[in-house]
Amino acid sequence: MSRPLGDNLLDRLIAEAQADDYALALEQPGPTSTRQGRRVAGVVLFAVIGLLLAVSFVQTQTVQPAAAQRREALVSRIEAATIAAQEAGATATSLRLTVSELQILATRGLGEQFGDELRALEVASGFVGLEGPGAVLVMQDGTAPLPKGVSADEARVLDIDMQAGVNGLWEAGAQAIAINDIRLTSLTAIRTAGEAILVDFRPLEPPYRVVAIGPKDLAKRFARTQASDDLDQLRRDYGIQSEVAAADVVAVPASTANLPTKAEVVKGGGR
Amino acid sequence: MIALIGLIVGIVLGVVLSPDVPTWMDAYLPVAVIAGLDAVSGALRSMLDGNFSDKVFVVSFLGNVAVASVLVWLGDQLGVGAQMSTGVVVVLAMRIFANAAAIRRKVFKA
Repeated sequence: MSRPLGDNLLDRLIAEAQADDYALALEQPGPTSTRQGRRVAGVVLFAVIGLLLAVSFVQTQTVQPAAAQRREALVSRIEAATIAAQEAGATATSLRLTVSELQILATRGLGEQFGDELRALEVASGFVGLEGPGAVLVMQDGTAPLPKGVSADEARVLDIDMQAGVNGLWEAGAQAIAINDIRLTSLTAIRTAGEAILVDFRPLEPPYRVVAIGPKDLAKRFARTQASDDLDQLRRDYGIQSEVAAADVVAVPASTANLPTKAEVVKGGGR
Repeated sequence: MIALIGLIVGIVLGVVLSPDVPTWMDAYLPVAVIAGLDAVSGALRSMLDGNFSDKVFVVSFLGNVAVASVLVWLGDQLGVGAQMSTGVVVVLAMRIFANAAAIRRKVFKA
């Protein structure tokens, strides 16, 4: 039962695959009688094949649901932990507010100047949330139509662009800044990780809303900074959108970053 | 008949014991399973043809599993393990189809 083998690789493959081993074996010279030992081997092999089939079936049926279950358990744990973190953050914010109020009460006897200093430090360190006049800078990745020869990748807001905008706002006299409701402090990093911008190690979702509290004319002052020119340049060259608007009342939350783990009483600060 | 009993005993053993397959065998188990299906379909065909031989059955199955496993192992070492096991499965599946077609012709005369 030999077949003519084609020259074509595929023909040969098919012919080889379809070859009947048993019929070919008959053509071989030699004894084909089945002895007892071979019979046993054959039956054992049938059992082995059955075992293989059953094991891989059982394996597939049990392993996949187990993996899916583990995944779901992980997802629900992440969700629960996220909610817990949010609640803890809210508690921390309200406790800080209480602490701040108590501090003002407790230090009342130390003179007005001390209270003012404390308040200024709290604002600068992001210890309390603030509300007041200021400006809002919205930055966004460029969308079509982009300037000629600019790819969508190049039209993305980068960490340095955001740093420029934020530094411009500080320069213009901002007292407190938050990006997408994440308060900036002297310890807050604005960095790129992969395609996302991280502020305080948390990824941001565009559009980026930089809220700054400061003097009433903060937006006008910002327009006179170098940063404003840089942003204009980015818009012209790369299509990166940015817009500054004055706002009568804006709010920035307290910082939720970890407080410094090392603190010392300044000499003579005990008053 | 005795072959069918052997097959059923194996399946029952596998279901009852359901042994844990070691991780290193993950790549070879599917190939061995398809080779097993190929061997069983070939055996069924030859039984209907009346030329079944235990020797051919044992040697061809063991030989196919050995070659397939070596191919997959080699493929793993060369970074084409997944493609290699796909190729092995395709070839074995073609053999199963050929056997099934022969059985069909024998049984249904069509």
